[in-house]
Amino acid sequence: MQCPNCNAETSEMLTSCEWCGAPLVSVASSPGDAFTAPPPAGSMPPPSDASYPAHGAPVSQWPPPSAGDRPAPKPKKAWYLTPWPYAAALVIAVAVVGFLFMSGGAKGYPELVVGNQPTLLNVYTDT
Amino acid sequence: MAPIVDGLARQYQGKVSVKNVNADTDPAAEKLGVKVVPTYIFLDSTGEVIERQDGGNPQALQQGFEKAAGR
Repeated sequence: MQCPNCNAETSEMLTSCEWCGAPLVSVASSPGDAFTAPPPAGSMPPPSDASYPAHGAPVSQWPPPSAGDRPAPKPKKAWYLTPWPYAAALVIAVAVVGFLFMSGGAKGYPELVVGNQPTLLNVYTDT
Repeated sequence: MAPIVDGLARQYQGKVSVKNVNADTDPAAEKLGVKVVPTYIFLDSTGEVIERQDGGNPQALQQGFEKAAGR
């Protein structure tokens, strides 16, 4: 319904305008009419409540929610401040060193040793 | 180089053995990856390569014998 005071659209279930607070005269407010159900429990107080900071003001003039209403966003940690890249690099380095060590150790020729003592292999050709 | 190798072999007899490997017939030459002859490869008692010399250099050969004898 339209408020006779500010001409704003407001719910006809209310007894006063939710924008300007002016009392509303509706068909449902006459004696003997249906009982108006109270607002559900836990809901925010309507703008007609005098304690509301934007009492009587339209929606466009309602104050923005304060910082205390929302939880502060947690700052993201830079990747170089986390331990995981360094742990991964360490694992990779150990794997590479281990592989090189193992492959280096396989370059022996025990079958060419003579007399179980240091041996010189004299590789020659007849041509 | 053959006389030099023989002389050093006699000098270090009991400390360093000498094994002749014919690059044309011995498959060990291919296993050793020999590309140049002569090549001298010093092994310790476990078969690990101590030193490898490509080409003939009497001084380097003597140093190789000394190094191998010390192992």
